[in-house]
Amino acid sequence: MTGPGAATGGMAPAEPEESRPVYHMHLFVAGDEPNSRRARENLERLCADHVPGECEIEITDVLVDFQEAIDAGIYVTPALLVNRTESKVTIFGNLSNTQKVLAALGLEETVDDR
Amino acid sequence: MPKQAVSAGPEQEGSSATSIRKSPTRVRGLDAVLHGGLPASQTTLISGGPGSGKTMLALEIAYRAALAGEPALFLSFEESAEAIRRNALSMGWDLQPLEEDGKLAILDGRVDPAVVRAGDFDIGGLLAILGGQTKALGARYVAIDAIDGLLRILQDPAVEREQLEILHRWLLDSELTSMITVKVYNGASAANNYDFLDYMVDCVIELDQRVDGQISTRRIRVLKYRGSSFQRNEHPFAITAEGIRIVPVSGLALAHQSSDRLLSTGHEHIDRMLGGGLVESSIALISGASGTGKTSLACHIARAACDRGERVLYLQFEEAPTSMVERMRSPGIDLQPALERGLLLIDAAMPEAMGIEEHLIRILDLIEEHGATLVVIDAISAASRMSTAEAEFDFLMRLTCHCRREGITCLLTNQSRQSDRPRNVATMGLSSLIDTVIVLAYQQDEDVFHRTLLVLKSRGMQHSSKRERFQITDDGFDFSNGSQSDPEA
Repeated sequence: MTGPGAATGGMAPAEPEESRPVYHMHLFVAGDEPNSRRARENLERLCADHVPGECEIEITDVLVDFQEAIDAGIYVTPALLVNRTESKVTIFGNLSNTQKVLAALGLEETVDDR
Repeated sequence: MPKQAVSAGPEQEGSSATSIRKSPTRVRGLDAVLHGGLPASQTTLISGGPGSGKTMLALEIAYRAALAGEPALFLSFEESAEAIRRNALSMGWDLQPLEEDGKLAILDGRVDPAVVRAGDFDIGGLLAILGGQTKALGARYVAIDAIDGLLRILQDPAVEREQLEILHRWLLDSELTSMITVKVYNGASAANNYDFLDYMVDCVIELDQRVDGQISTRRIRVLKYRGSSFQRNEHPFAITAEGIRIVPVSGLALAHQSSDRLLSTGHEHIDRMLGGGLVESSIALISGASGTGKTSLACHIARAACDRGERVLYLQFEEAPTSMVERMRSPGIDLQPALERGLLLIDAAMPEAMGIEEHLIRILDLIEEHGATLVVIDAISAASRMSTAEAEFDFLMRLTCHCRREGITCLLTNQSRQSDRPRNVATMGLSSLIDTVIVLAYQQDEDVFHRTLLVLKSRGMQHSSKRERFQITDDGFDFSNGSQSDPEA
């Protein structure tokens, strides 16, 4: 399923004037346990705050779809797989450490303009 | 001195009442050590250093379970599924058909080393995968290989412990017969993180690979088995072409009642000296200095057994089989017919060619393949060339125990120095295992050397205590003009 943060839907190579990458965020959660819930909230806020309109969020509940977890090799939760056009990053944890997530995404802290 | 290597008496057992359910490992020899198998629906920890065979053991148990129609899940945090399939294939285990058949699943749980940690997480993913996949398979067995590979990413001993407890509780609730392997480094503190695992689980199996006198030996030991008896000793094991092979010492074998059937040596006079012959499934030793006729006597007894239609395995460690067969022609011991009828199998191996457990396992396989009822080991001193003195005792004890259990008669030869007193012949503390001792010697009488034969011991038999002279003629052992003399005190 696609989360509410999805703005750039059809990921066609359109809009050449906007060269910022589209982040495909694949979050693996284990039902509604506290860290999973926190991760979901943290991810949504992070996308909205730092890369608004650039995130496509997909959430897999491993309790519902364990095969997806096997295929992605996800044995801990919550875990986030970030796919950018040229690179992949795996982040474990509830994403409460925003700085670490941003660094992993290659986004400088200076992006923070609020 | 090497007696303490393995206790020769019946082993001390844990609680004698074995009431808990067991799941067979189907690994050769292991179920005997575990008195039936792993604790069913419980967790077994398999620990050992790098390269000790943990993965192989867990994989073999999973593979054999799947083969037997009990689906198994194998999850590794160390190796890719492809590498596991490849390793299995090198042992002759083809996993793919079992996977396609839904009897086995191999999962790759390796963690990307470049992973970023940002906040708390737990093994919820693992539990979901275990739950989903074992249900999909209808699994009865689950093996989690190199759990330390997963725990490492938690980077906090307290959290690691907490997560392991959660995993253990989950496994217990699932009622799966489960195995967890964990790497233990010799004396290093890395292992200490997981010490508590020993207390947590119901059964602990430790594997170890060490080098004794330049020959590496693998050992397996059950450290703990809650609610069950088990063999407490260390057991040598080998990774053979067909898998892991353990040679257990059965307490039952040591308590085995001796048979009262007598086997003729094929020589009336020697039979009489022995009190009738060799006792079936007993262990006899022919001891003597070089050239006293040990091999001739052993071959004579072997040929007599073959003449009766029995199957004999002759393990020749000292010379080539063809040269022995040729040499035996001069004392009139023709082994050719027995060889041609396939009753006699002469096997020659260099003692130094392999480690002691490989020798042992190869010999046990030969005994089984040949269906031998008599096994000759010429000479047991070869065992000392395989490894250390301790291992030598161990080797002979395991081999003779196996033979006794299977009702196989063992005939050993041992080269003693001429100066050895007869009482010293049963070396290496083996004397308690040996039922019959025949001593061959030279005796000088003025200018003439005589060959002599003395039955030093023959357990439970009314044997002669006379040292008797004999000659080796074209026709074999000749006692006709030998006079008797008293044995040395």
